[in-house]
Amino acid sequence: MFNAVIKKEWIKIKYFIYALSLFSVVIVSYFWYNLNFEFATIEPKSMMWYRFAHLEQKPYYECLYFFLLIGVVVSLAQFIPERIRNRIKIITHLPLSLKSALIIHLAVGFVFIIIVSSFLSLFIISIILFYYPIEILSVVVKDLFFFFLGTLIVYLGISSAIIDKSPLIGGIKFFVSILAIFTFFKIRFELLDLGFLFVIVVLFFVVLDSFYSIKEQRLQSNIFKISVFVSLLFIVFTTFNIYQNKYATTFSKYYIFYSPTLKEFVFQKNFGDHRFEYTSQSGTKFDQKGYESTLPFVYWRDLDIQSLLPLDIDDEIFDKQIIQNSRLSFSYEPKYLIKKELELYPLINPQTTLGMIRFPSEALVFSDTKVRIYDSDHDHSEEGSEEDLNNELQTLLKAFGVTSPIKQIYGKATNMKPYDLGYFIIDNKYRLFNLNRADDILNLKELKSPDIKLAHIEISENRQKKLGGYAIDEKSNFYIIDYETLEFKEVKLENFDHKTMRLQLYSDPKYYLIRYDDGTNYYARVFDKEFNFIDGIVVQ
Amino acid sequence: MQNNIIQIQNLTHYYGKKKIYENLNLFIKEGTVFGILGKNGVGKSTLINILMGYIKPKSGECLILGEASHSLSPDAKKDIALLHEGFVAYDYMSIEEYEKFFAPFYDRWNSSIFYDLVDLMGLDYSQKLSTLSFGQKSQVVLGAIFAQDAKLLILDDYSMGLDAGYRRLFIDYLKDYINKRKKTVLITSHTMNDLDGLIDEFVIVQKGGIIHQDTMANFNADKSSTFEDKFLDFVGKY
Repeated sequence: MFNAVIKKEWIKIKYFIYALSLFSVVIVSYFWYNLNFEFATIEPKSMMWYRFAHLEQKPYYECLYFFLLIGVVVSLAQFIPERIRNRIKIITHLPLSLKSALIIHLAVGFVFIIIVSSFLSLFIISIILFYYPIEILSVVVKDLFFFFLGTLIVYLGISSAIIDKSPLIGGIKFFVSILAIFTFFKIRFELLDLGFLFVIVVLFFVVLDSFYSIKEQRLQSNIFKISVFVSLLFIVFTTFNIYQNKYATTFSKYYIFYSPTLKEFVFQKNFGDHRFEYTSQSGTKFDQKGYESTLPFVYWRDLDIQSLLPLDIDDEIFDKQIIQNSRLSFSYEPKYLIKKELELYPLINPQTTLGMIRFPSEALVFSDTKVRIYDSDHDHSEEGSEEDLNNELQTLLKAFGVTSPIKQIYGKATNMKPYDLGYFIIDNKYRLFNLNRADDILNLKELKSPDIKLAHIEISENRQKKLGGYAIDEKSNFYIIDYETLEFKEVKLENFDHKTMRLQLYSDPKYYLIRYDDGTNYYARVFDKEFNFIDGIVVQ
Repeated sequence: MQNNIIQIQNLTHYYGKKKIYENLNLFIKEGTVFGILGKNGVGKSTLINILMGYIKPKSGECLILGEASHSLSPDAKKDIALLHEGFVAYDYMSIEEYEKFFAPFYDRWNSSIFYDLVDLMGLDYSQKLSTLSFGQKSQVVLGAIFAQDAKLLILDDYSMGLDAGYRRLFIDYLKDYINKRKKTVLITSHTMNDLDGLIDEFVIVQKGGIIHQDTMANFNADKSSTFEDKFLDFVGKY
């Protein structure tokens, strides 16, 4: 019987499958041509790797549309003719249970979808692996798997809408399916997205409900109703998350600064719609001009234009150069904790004889089992620098006893900086290492960090060469990193929670100001240039 | 004693406020050729659709082969050969493919019956149903109905779209088919002449429900007028 249905469905939709297959060849060819063009024209080629790993520019992302199209086409080709010509009644009268009759027909649709999707996926994977390091495979397979889930959701959702006897209920099913599909337009799929497997199971029963409707029945099971409700919640939750990630704007209710002239905090309260109030910690109200006058290190440009520089504060003279050179800011947001899908980092290689750091053709790639260097410009048919570099790296890793898998890698993966501090690596035993390359020589050293489990490190290669960045441990303790020694110094931040709060660190000629908030409580703490605590405030 | 193959009890159905049937009771015995007669649009197909579970009546009960009509078991469906109104068929299949599709579903499938009917029209088996005339297609569909060797044949408006020649071909074949086998047939039609000599019992349906139920023997006892004239006396000429 299954064979009979396969043959029947094949006869009906074979031309659509041929067209989809042909179209997929066109899509794959176009994809290959485009990718080849990108790699042929970019210099170095590792820039494309960098784009993938750090800018999440996935060259195959547009193929998602074609995956969804497969689901749409198979669904329309299979069920529209049956619905319009009333042949759906023939299916319901086949000597099978309604459930079996539907399962067979959907299984046939699944088989066709799997064939076309697999064909497409295999080509995409083959092409990608030709241009990218092998470590990318897991990311590509994961993405294509979710693309495939999207195809199944479209297929089941549209099928349920077509089959349903009631135009109203069919319309609702169609609308919800479309909503579910919007959730697939995301650049990165996560573990939570496996919830779509549950949605697919529920969607099968939604199609069954539509099929039952032909015989004036509906699925009455409470488990079905609850599952539909849970699926809807999941879809709405996922859609909301996507909306937030894409379109949500951050809003700061307070901009808190420390006035070097008043020796107290002043803040600009933001009511939205460009309405502000300016106040000091002691309750003094200001107009905008008065407020700005309390913050000469922030609005120093105005003072410079008005020829009011240099400043004399506490018998210290601050000219334009001093103010300018002292300025530095770090920021932190909980989203910084999200690990990269592909742990690939350009192996920066500053040369003492060159003024600018060039973007390197070599990249460090971290996997669960090893650390490896790939050279995008290296011809793999010949022996050469890539192998030598890898041997050098492996010797260093072995000498220092670095254990895989590497838990976390931090560092600024860009050449748009004056210096390079390299990468900070936490190995499987929570030991911290600094790996860098300069003048073609790889350097590795173990760093002494407090006995802590690090949650995040932010590196800053700045011209001041005083602060190398900051670190946060799992208990939300905050540390600044000395640029020269790379040692950690703890800075007490009352009530700071790195999982929910954002943070900014500002430097001026006299102070370091650290602000952090969770959107409700706004904290600010000011320190002298040796990070000795001076004052703190919290406003709501 | 003959069993009731179809039992309709206290069936009431409305389309909105329009009454179609009210408290309809109908029992069709095994081996009977039963006609539901009436003009177009009076609810013959509605009754078949209710009977096959495609329309849910407001109230009442329909049993076919002892099972509730809206939830027939696969075994019961094997014993009910159903002709859907309008000769609904897989037009994209060839005659041969059509036969091969249905064959595995029915234990008693008889290919020779199917091809006998197809051969009467001298058709090439590789011809797609979509390329056949409506009359030719109807015979292929009916061939698949007969080949099922079902206990009950439900033929919804077999005459729709067929010219007199194809109707005659079908009726003759049907008569021959049921003469050789013990079958129950439920047939709906608005064309009366063809059914004379075929059906054993019938109901005449008019808007609002059944207006007359009789056996053919009793109905034809009065020789003063033809079957069709008597029928028209019930339903009106227009």
